Amino acid sequence: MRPDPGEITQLLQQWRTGDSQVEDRLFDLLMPEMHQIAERCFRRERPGNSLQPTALVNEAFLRLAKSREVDWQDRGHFLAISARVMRRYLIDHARARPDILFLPMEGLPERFFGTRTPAELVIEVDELLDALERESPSRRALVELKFFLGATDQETADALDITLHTMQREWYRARRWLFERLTGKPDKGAHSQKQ
Amino acid sequence: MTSSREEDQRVMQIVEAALRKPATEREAYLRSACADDEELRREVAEALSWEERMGGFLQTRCCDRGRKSSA
Repeated sequence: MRPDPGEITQLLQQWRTGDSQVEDRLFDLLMPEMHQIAERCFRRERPGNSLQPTALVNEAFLRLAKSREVDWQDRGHFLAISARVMRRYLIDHARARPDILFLPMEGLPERFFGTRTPAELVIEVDELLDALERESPSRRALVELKFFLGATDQETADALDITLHTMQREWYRARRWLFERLTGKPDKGAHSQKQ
Repeated sequence: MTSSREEDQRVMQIVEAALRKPATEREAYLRSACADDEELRREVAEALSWEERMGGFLQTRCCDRGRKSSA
């Protein structure tokens, strides 16, 4: 059962006071979902990788604890950032160990790889997500929630506090934005797209 | 996000319904669903054309694809 979102929002806002009990409670409440995210990240990992989901959750939480001054909005915001932190950590890990093929981009059709190696594609997508965030932070959060975390449409809409249809339309726009850039054929009509 | 909830709802409902129809019936469906709202029709037609071009791009969450393709 999901923890009470109201309690999490409250705890996230109290977190910046540095109260260690608040931090412990937050970790207990959020750990199961963070662990699910981490497990999804590892589902396709090769055996023998030194990283494990629990270690990834701990590492992500440590990194997030350093940013507790962030104006956390709610559980969805926190989980979206958690997913980003975990993905970043895995990308750093992949850069340090290029012999380990880690692919957080397995949902991409093979034609997107082109002449890129999987690691190059992962890094390129990561950079594109940064660029997308500069244009629209919520669209980046959408991609992270839906594609990387595997949240359902309704979960994503709830996390971003938007209606289901707005989420679906924004999802289309975010996918299109990435598609245009990954295929290297920005469409003339792209600029006329409503922002 | 500047579009209104109502507009998002209208566009996405028509896009969803159109995608479920055979390609040959879409044009007629759009004419009927969008009536004389040319702007709406243009938005929906553009979204449909991009959906066709993108196929399933990002539609399979990243960590499920491996399981399906290896099954």
